Amino acid sequence: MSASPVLSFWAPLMVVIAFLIVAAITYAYRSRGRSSYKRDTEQTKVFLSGEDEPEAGMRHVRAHNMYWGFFEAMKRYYDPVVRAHTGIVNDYLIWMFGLAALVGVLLFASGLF
Amino acid sequence: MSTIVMNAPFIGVAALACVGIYIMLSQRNLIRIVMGITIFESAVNLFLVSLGYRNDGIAPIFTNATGIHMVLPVPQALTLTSIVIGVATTALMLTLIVLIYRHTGETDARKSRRVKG
Amino acid sequence: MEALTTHSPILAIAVPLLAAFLTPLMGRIGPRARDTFVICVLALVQILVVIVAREVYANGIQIYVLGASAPSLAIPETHMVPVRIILEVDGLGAFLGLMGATVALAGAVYSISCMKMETGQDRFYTLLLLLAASMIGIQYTGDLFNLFVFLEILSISGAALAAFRTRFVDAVEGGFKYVIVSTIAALLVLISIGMFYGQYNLLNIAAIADAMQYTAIDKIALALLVVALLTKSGAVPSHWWVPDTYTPAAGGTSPIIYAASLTCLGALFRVVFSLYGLKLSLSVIGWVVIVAGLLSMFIGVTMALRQTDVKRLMTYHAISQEGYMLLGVGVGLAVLGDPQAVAAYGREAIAGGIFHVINNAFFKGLLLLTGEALFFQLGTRDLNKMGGLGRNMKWTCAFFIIGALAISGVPPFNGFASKLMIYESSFHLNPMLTIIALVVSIMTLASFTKVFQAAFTGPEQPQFATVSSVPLSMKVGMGILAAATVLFSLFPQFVVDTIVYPAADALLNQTGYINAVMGGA
Repeated sequence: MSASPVLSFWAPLMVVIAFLIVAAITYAYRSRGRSSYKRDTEQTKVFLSGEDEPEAGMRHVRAHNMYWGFFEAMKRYYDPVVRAHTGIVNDYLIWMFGLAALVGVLLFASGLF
Repeated sequence: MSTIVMNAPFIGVAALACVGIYIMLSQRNLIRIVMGITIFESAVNLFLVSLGYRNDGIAPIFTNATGIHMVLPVPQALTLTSIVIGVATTALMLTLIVLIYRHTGETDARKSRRVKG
Repeated sequence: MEALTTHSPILAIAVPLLAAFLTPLMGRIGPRARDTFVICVLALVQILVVIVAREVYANGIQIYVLGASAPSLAIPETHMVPVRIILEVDGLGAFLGLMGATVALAGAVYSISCMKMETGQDRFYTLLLLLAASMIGIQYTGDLFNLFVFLEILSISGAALAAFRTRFVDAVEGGFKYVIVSTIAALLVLISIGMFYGQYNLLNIAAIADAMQYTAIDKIALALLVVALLTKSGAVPSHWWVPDTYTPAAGGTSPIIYAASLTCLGALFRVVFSLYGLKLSLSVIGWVVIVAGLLSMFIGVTMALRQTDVKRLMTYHAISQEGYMLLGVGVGLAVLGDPQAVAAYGREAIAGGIFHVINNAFFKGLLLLTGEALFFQLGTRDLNKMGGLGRNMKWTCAFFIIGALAISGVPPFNGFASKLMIYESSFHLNPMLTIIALVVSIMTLASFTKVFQAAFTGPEQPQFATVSSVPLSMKVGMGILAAATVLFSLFPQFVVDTIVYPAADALLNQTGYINAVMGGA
């Protein structure tokens, strides 16, 4: 039996070729340039309404600040889940034996019906 | 009554396994958790050896054997392998506990963890 | 040459096993001799695995009987059942062997530079070769007790590698948790082996499958085996050990330990499809696997979004991607009893799950290696302290982009191909499964965008001005996995037809598996 036809529709070579063609057109278009642009002058500096640019460490958004809104919105899901990740070995084993008991009960219960 | 006598090894297996599991799950001291694992291992080894027993069978050695009805030798081989593996893993576990103690000064499972979440 | 082909299954296991114990001797000669030796051995293993795979795809299931006068004499003349240890390589075994050998080679090449400053490198390479040997052992074996022994070797060497850098407390703790959880899982496997032996007096998987009557004791054994192997592969709700263990693993061994977990997942498929087959309660176990897959996907990715440790984030993604594999194969398992459903979408679901296994080994391995590269160059894994490294570490950044796009399922990468197969087929069983899988894919992309922004983009940080690109062998190690990812991305149709569908068919064809050993009747 041959493989699914979906994969050949999304054939990656086609996607790569399309990407390269579009990239070539874009590059040709952008490289025509703009005559009033000069590198390494006042024109290229960051503009913050006349304020000085803060130093690099302060400008970079740190990892723990990202997706804050998502975490706040999902607080009711996250609190029990994060608390369950205790890091205590006994809890790891309790989950394993609990799962074994659950699967065993399910198997025997299904045999009754 | 004879049912209990015949199944005594398996009752022992169940008892040892319950004790071992209880210790593993409830004790906080890391070394006691390893003890619980060792007891559970002994239960499994006893289970394997008891499987091979045949009524009135003799040891499975052909030299100077008094008869031909022997207990099964394969579970005994499995048990030997399991005992050796148990020794190796217990040694590794205890070494790691010593290293955890050197780093954190604690052998309590709650107090010595440094990673969670 | 003929002899090499016949004996290749056992050589693929014996060569790294023997070389593991020769490594300290080579270490006496010099570090360069030892490194060359290890790389040559793993390259030889790769060649042997390819030879085995070619034999299997050309001539069907290959068996190798240890200790018989000829490697194909499964059942001796005086018996009716196989009594020796038999290696039985079918499509799934060959597939997993290819995965394991490639990842082991890439990890070892990477470790040459990464572990240069560490002491005890002889022992490191010994453990690495033992891990590779045990992986291939689990993939090729047809005997349950042999599986148990290799599982234990895998646990011990994996735990020792995770705890290798004993100066870090989280490494020691990760190794300890791994060995505790693995020992209990292996003991559960041993109990079920005892149950099989007590009932059927057999240890060979094909022979037990032939004699299986699915008694109550077999149900208990099934529960124990499924839970033990789900734990060893790191599926929720037994995934707690995974982040603790993969994160601090030394050098390039995180991908190899991950490939070992994928091997345990393959062993789970072997037990469920080839040992039990149609006799088990398909709806229960199928849905247990599907629910484990869904939970793994969702909990894995939501916990990953919160992490600020680079490698810990990536290991939560490892859990999440395992959910895809479990989902795909679970869908196939749930409909196994219905031949029409199997032909319509079950086979594709299993193939999607299996294709995702090898894709994951490559791009997740690549991402773990880039995380370790960041740790190697900066001395920290904390994303809050990084920034603007795309300038200094260009190759690492490029490999990271390849890995991140592949894992998120962005076309044209191979992650997209396997996820598409899983989406397409699970939709037929229940549309909710596909929706959850798609949402998880989006969240995966979100968390890798977070890592990319935090670590690689941004203004140039002054404290990282002296950080340079990683050494050559690390680039080569990452390059091997990146090249494999790109290769699989460009030709997914070819890969699926050559490697994946034979593996899926091997799982579905329990009769063929049994007949290869029992002689067909």
